[in-house]
Amino acid sequence: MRLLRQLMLRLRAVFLFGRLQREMDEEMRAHVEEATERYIARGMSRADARIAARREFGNMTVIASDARETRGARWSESLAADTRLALRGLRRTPLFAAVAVLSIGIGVGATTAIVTIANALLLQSPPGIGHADRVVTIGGTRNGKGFDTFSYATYRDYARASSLTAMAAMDVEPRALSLTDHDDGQAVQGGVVSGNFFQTLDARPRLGRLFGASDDTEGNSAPLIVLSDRYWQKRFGGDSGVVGRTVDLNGAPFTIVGVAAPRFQGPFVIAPDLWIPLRAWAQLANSVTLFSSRQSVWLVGVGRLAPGRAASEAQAELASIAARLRRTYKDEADLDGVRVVPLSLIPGDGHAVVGAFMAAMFVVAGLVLVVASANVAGMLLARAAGRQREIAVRLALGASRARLVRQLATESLVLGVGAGLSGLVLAHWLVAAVMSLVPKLPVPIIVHPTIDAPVLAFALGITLLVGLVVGALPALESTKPNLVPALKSDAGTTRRHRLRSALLVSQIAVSMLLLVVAGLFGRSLLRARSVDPGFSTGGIDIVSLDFRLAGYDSTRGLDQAQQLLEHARRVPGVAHAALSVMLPLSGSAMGFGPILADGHPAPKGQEWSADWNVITADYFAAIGIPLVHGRAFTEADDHGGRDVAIMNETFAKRLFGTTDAVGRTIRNGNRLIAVIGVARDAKYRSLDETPLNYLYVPLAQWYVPHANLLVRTAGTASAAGALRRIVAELDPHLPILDQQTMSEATALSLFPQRLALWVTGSLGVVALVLALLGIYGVIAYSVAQRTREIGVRVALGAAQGTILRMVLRQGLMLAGAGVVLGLAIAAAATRLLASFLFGVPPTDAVTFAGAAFLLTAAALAASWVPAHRAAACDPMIALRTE
Amino acid sequence: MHKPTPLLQGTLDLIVLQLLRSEPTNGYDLAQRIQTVSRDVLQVNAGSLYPALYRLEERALVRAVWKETDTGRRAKVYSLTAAGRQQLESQRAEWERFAGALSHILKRA
Repeated sequence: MRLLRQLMLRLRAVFLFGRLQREMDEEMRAHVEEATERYIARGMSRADARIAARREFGNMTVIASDARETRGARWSESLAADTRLALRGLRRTPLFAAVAVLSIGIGVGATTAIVTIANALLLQSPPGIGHADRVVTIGGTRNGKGFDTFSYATYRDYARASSLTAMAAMDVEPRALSLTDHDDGQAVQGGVVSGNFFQTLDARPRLGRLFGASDDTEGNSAPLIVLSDRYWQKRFGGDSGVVGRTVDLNGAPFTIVGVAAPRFQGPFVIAPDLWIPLRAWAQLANSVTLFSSRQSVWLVGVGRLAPGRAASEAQAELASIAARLRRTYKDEADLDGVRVVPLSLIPGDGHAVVGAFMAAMFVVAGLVLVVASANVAGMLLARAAGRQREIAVRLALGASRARLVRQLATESLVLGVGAGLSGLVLAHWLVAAVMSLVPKLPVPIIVHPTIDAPVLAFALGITLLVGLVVGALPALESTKPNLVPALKSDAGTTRRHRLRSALLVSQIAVSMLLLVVAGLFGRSLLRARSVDPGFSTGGIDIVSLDFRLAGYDSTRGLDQAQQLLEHARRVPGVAHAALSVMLPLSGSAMGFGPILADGHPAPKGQEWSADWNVITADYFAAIGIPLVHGRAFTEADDHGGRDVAIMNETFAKRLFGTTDAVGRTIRNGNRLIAVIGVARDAKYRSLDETPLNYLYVPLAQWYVPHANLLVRTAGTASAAGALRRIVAELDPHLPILDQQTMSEATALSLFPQRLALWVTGSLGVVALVLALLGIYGVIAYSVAQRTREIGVRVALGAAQGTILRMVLRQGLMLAGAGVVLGLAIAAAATRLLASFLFGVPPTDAVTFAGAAFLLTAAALAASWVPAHRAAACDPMIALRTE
Repeated sequence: MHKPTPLLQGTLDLIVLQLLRSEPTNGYDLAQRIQTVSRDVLQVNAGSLYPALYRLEERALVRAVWKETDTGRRAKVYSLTAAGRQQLESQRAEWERFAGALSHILKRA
């Protein structure tokens, strides 16, 4: 209690400083007046009485100040005074203050930005979900790995688990649908979810209602739509009249029953435009097997844990159900295991991958913070050294060491607050910049990185930590009660100088590591850019379509495809037009196999397989892949003719030992396929892949309803607008799923490298600039300290060149030590990056040498100015200093 | 008239606590009473009295409230807390032991 009361009084003293002061004044005035009255009562005149009372009382100002000291106000007062002092001191050296605040601010900003993004991706629960901590996501595993889909039948079995109060199922990715509302069809991403989806997630509507379990039963497959708030705003302009309206999805009538709450996007990072019930989708897709077959695996689950049950209990229960299903259905079973994980925007293995990437980025950003801290600590040390005499005098006059440390620490604290604030601003900006770097993705991925309370706590914590570490060292060092040398002369600085040199060497070593990492990513990207993908990325417009969305069967689809190509070829400027199911380097691939070639068996224990693509006649001309042998497909290669294929050089060589495979045949199941041409190799999955087997087959023989229309234009003009018109004229119900250029489509393949380079490159530049400043600071300070010695040397006849070399050598020695240390660290550390690099070994000699050269050059440049100043030293002036 | 004796260091707190034990008092009266009770031997100036009061208040040995005085003025009236009472007992015991030992030495040695 007493402790509490003391604390209260002290806090009162801090916060109610003005009031206490007034109370004190009033009390003392009352004292004087009381005394005056008494003197008057004893017969004095009022004036005499007042003078006597005043005299008796003493100097009111001094007493008030003494009293204040005991009041605990001293602490708050001296903090204010220290802050004022620190601000005044920093204003006198604006360059130092700016460099210190900015460099630590950059470190804090970079780490905070990465924490913000990691927090949004990995820690924050998806918006709009009630009691999200009780929600789990459920996926199947193959060989104990992954987060895979399972069948509807399995979902029903899981949903009976007692550890879950509710379980909903959803198609793992949204489906591309065409939504028509008195106008052309527009592509939308439809989330296909079980009726109880919204109830399970405890989601709320913004408008109307959300469909429920009774809307999605075997007897009632109601065609209902719940719009996302985002799509509602975009397509319907936030019109509340849409509720109850009927629109067409892929030509079938659906009723909009409501709009989900703002920002609600379901449990994952992929955000659908709208949601429809499972059974309504199955009717639309006209698929009977979606619900009956255990082989039809297309769902993942979200479940709500029963009260008091943990995710691990649900995991155990579902695993035992899965085991029973395996026993019952044996080969018919659709999975070998199950995975129950807490709700996360990125479920399954992706979580760990993203986590590892974010951790790597965090380490890099953390290194910059370390470099900046070392640099600022060095500067503070030099600054404290400059005030050595002042501090020594104050210590000698009896100031307590704690008092002086507190004053110096306040300066660091002020710097820290500035750095923390600028760091937060920077983090905000960096997050926006990173989000804008994300290329256009085939599915709508939405995250909301915000600087929320945990992120703020992180930023505050790290700023305080840095402020303390950076401030404590110089403060303790410069208030060492070692007065005599400091008072006597400029001696006693050797040890401090050594400390500062050590800081500088470690700073350069870490900068070296950062530059090496940035260099490795830079060379990766250069290497990747210079790789010839084997096709042209420029001048090609792409429109993605799915003929199913307009309800075509294969005959109608092929017919429409033919018309589409004819129309496209007539557009002015269009040189070639073709359809292609796959887009190279866009992140997806199809496997075709097994393939047999009579007389050419595959290596032992394997079978021939290849990636494949389904194309139309003009494809090779449109994408710019030359044929090395044989011919391209023609319109005659259709259903009536014999099966034909074109393979790439690598596959031809592996199969037949020669690139000229024209005239050979391969076998796939019952189909005998004649090879009519060989195309030059290209890159298909990624730029750094080892050569892949690849097979092209004609669309007329292998109809696939979803395809990309590729159009090569002769000039620079884009055909995008014309293509949009052609598709709309052909069939207003056929929506355009995606429209992009070839270079946009392939940009995704280099996104991780690009992001990594952007992050490490900018941080590397910061580290280099800080190293430059650090070296300059140390050398300039050392020259200033040695003014007298240099003066003596010049007076004794040392040539200017000698002095110049002497100072430069000192800078180079320091930089050399840092560079060597940094090389050793980098050689050990970059191995961890190997999987992110492209065509560059983690100990790439060019990068290492380049970074070393860059830092050494920076050291020379930074030492040059102080070296010149030293060499130009006038011995008379130099000897007279001090 | 003798010159007033300056206070022995550290005894002011004890005196204040002792005087406050009997009744709550404001600063002015406290100063007067020290002088009266010590038969004008001890004189306390405001410069030491108020810091002492604030120190004791901060250590929660005394508490203060604003009250109206007989002369109709607002004054801050100090009184002893339970902790202050305890502190007084232990300090007084200590002082008596010390004073006893000192007079013993002065008489015998």
